[in-house]
Amino acid sequence: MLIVFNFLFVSLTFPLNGALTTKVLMLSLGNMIGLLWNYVFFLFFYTLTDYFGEFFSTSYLILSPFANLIWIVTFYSLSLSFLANLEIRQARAET
Amino acid sequence: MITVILEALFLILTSLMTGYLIRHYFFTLTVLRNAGKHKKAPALENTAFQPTVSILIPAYNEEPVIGRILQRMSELTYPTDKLQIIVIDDASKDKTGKIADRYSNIHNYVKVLHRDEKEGGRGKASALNAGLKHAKGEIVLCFDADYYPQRDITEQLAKEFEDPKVGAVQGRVTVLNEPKNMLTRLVALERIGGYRIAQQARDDLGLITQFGGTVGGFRRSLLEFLGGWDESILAEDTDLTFQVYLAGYKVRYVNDAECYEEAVESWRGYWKQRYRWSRGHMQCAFKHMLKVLGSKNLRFKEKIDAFFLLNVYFMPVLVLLSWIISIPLFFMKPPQWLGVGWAVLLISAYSFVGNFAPFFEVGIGAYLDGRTRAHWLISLLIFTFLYNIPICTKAFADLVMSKISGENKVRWDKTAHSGDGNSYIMN
Repeated sequence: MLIVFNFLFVSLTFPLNGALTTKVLMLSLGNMIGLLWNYVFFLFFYTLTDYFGEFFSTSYLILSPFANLIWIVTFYSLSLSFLANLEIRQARAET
Repeated sequence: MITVILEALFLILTSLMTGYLIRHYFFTLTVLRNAGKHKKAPALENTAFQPTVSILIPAYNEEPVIGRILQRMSELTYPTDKLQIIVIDDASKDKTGKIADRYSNIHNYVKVLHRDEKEGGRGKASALNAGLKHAKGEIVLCFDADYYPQRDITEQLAKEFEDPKVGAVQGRVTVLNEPKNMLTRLVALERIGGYRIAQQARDDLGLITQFGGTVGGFRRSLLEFLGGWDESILAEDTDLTFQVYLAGYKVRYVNDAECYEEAVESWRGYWKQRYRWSRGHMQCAFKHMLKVLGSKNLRFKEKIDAFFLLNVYFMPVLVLLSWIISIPLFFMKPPQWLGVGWAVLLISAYSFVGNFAPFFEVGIGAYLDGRTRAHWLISLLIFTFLYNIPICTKAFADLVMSKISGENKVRWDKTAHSGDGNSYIMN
């Protein structure tokens, strides 16, 4: 899912107005959030599987993409909001 | 054996959904690349092409909103000697007819058709057909009574008909009462994805641009040739879109021709509206699919797009089916690719929201519109998609039942408008 995030972010956010450094920083932040999110999610289900059995291992497979989508969609949306705000502020500053 | 069948079915369904994802990804990319190229076109004031235009406004119990649209119609910048406005009072039980008469008495280009209970109240298509009989303009435009267009919208829409290959035109729909509640805000996001990106991209790529039933219109000669609006179909707009393309004409989308609508304000109203859309769209799929695929007037890429467009309301049903299939597959003996397929399926859940636009499409649309805070709600669009699953499933089940029983009579459930949108108008 990190590949999906990086692909969408690079192809659809990088062409927008705004400094490249800002976008690279946002992409890095997104990747860090994703890794941390997945790590915590994995540990949680690893513990559940260890205590309660294989059912939770399968549940992890089912729920993992959904859990990933929550942060991907949210982070992507907030990034666009941030870039749009930045553009408007720049336009105001120029005028 | 069962596992193999389930796997095959799951693979087919996820492939179909991947197709939709790729389609919308290219839509988004196309609009993004062309973003700087779409400059607002000048109005028609100084050009020779100024066709006569008839505007049809069907109205059934629209007392809270009819005055608003008629006031705006009286402010249009199009020459009034080339303009005819026909209000079809479709057997309204409130003061719709009286309000319309008041405008008709002041402006000689406004005409009101009063239909009694015998002939009226049978749905929008029936009312529009009644209005068409009185239309004299070369171009026929339609507006719903709850809409509020820009003053120069007639010029913006009519200019496209200078090209003789253009049979119909569609303008942009924007939500007027967006701040009203969470639902209206989500519907506004849906509209952004559907119009700003999907319609624009289809127009840019020469695919199937959809006539949305309002804020648009037709060449009258073509409309009469096609027999007007089909009263047996709930999505009479989609039906006419395909009839236009099958007749060898095209539909143009004009993003600058902006018009505000009063969006549904309750989940019950949303259900009624979307049920009508989905059932009507499915009717169109049954009616046009084979004709479209075999048509000589459509190019290969148009046929592919038409296939996706006609089937779009089946997708929530198929997503539900895929979920039902995939869960036991996980607990049987999951193949390696199942995880990937499942991920695609979940992304699809975010891909059939917003007029079936994925989250990235809605996001880019909002960005291009210069919106700064609308993005915050994109994550919540999953709820409208989940709500669409039972709506589309019921519409599909009802349609199948009606096909089996031979009872094809449809009932038009009108969307109620409160008129609260008036408070958001700033001239």
